[in-house]
Amino acid sequence: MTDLTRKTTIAGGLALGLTMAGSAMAQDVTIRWALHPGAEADAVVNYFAPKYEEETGIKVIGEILPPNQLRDQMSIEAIGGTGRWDLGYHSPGWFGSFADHVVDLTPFIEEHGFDVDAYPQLVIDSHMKSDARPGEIIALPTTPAAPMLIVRRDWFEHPEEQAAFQAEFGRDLTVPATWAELRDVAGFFTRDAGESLAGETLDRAVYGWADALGAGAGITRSFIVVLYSTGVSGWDADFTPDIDNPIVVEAAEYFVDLAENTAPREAQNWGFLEGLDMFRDGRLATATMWPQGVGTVEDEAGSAAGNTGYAPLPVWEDNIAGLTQGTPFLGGGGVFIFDTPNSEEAFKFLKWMLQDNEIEWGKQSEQFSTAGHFASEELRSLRPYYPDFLPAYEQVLESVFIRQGIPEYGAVMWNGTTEFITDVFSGDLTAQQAQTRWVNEMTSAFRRAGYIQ
Amino acid sequence: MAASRRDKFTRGWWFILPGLILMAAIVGTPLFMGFRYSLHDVFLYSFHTQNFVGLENYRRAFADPLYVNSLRITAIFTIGCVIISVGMGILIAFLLNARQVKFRAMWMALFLIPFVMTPVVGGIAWRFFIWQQEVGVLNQVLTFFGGPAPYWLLDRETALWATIITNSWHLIPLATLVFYAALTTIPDELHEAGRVDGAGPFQSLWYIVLPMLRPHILFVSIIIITSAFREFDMIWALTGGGPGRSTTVLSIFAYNRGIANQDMGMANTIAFTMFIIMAVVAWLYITLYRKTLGDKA
Repeated sequence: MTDLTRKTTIAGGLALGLTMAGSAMAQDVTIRWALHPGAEADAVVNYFAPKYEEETGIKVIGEILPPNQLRDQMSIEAIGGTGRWDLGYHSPGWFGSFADHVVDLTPFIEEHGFDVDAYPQLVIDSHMKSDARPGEIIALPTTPAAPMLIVRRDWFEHPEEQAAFQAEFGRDLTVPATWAELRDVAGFFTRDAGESLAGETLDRAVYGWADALGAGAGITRSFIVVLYSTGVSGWDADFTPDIDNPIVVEAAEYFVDLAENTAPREAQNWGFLEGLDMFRDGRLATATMWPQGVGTVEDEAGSAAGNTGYAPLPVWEDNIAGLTQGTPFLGGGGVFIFDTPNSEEAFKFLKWMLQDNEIEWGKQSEQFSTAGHFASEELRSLRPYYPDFLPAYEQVLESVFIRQGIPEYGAVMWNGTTEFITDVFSGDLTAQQAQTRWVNEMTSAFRRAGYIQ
Repeated sequence: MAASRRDKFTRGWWFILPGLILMAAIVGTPLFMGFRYSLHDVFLYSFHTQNFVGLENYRRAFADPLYVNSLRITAIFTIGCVIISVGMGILIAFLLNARQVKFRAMWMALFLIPFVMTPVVGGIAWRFFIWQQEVGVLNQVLTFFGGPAPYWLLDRETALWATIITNSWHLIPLATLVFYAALTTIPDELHEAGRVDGAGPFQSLWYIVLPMLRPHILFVSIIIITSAFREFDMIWALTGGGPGRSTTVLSIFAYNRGIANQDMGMANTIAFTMFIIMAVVAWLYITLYRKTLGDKA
């Protein structure tokens, strides 16, 4: 064997070895993702993960956790440093719990050319940045979402209903533009079995409005969108609570009245989207709907399919922030990357899924957030109701509240809202008493955290 | 001689030492850690920053009307479960022990099913199949007879009682098992003597069976008290602590503080007060139990 042959053989062997080792390493990478249940999780598990493995050899395992355990389990694993997941579900309201455990994505974004500007500024501010990690990009949005109002368009347009409404309220029956109008409309449509509605005698009672009112997250999510629509933020730049404003009491009393008099009693068992079945089945005239529920509402087996109107939530008249439409918090979520050895591989997967396959992500997950999603003719024509739904939803996202990224957000605002509205709704405390208690708790928490003296 | 006596005294301790160390590690460590956290400001979102606050968390807990409310609800829940479980347990055991009852093993096995069922599964089953307003068995029966169809789990007046009954359903088999075993140890001669003296079934239960069962009642009660006092999953599955706070027992209150509020200092404070309350109740019961055994002896 000549020297050249020997060198060539050694180099070839080395190259082969390195290639095999590289391939073996790629094969060994397994990205694990803690997912919130929903169509987007199904899309990851059933579509994107197998496709990515097919293309790159890198395995992605999505673990779908119950919504009410997701944060707890993720934070316990993060605090314990177990490295169980490389990717975690990011809710801006929870981020304080994870601020010390996730990587800054800025270097990856620059290296791999992720286009941050593809997202609306409010989504960037809410789902990609956080006060807890200033100057960094800490997550990528996957399912930013905010609720909207849905109405039974056919009932609103029915001549008998229009005439009856005109006779009772002295104005046209239209999609409510204010919360006060919603109360009138919801009361108007709340009817017992045996009464008639849109020319038909009802077999079962129909309710004017509904949202999830179940203990804990249900009623909190439902009320907090009303609360933010009043223009309160929770606290100002100096951490002085603004929830002591009388408008909070007004909102609570309004909400309790709406929930008690126009919503079905069963709603007090609902945690999120369960009640949309009632809308689908023709038992609700209006409802607050998160976009994940549009498939249920438009289910062809129900009577609401093709008869549903979509609109932003009503405006709170005289709100203290000058808002021009109902302003819920920007909820839904994104994905952050835990500080694990797989962090860069995990980012590459996310970039491939969310940006290289932007429209496919919209199709598979039925979640829309980028300008590309709303501009896509392919997406608009995907479902018969998307031409109505998507523009309305795009409008919803133009006015949303960006939750503050402080670690105490969950305790002082989310859980504070839970306790406040639970006390008022149950009658344990008056709205004023519950408000005073909430303000004191918030002030005390900020004092303990050292934000105020 | 003295050394031998000392050896004799210490030898036993050497045998139980491994068990003691294990128990101290398993029971003592979390207890100590829980107590330690209760004296600190500990938040899940900043877990490694723990500031010593002394008894401040206890002061805050006792000053919080929600804590007092949870304590009250826990007491009602626990007492309700004890009364129903012990009462029904005695009744079922007494009926099973009757001479006329055939296939006792089968009945016993049937009665044990609720006890082997996971509480959360039992809670979900009762929520959807028994208490549900529209299709629940209870309302089906009530409406069949022309009665109302209440929202059992959504009404503040009925939700707590619904959770008590459901949890008692889970605990009754334990009581039945113990009482049935105890009943079989009562000599037939006592029943014979009662019958000779003209005692009917009720008088026999009251004057013969109950006095004989007294230590067992105390034993079952303490087991049920400790179980009901810290019950979480059954109530969580049924009502989540609602409506309002009408079924927010201490364990749910602690969970809310610790997980929803991320305030592990307060959650451990609540948990530790639960431990203290239970320890006192258990001590009282054990003292009473020993006294009862002493009286019997």
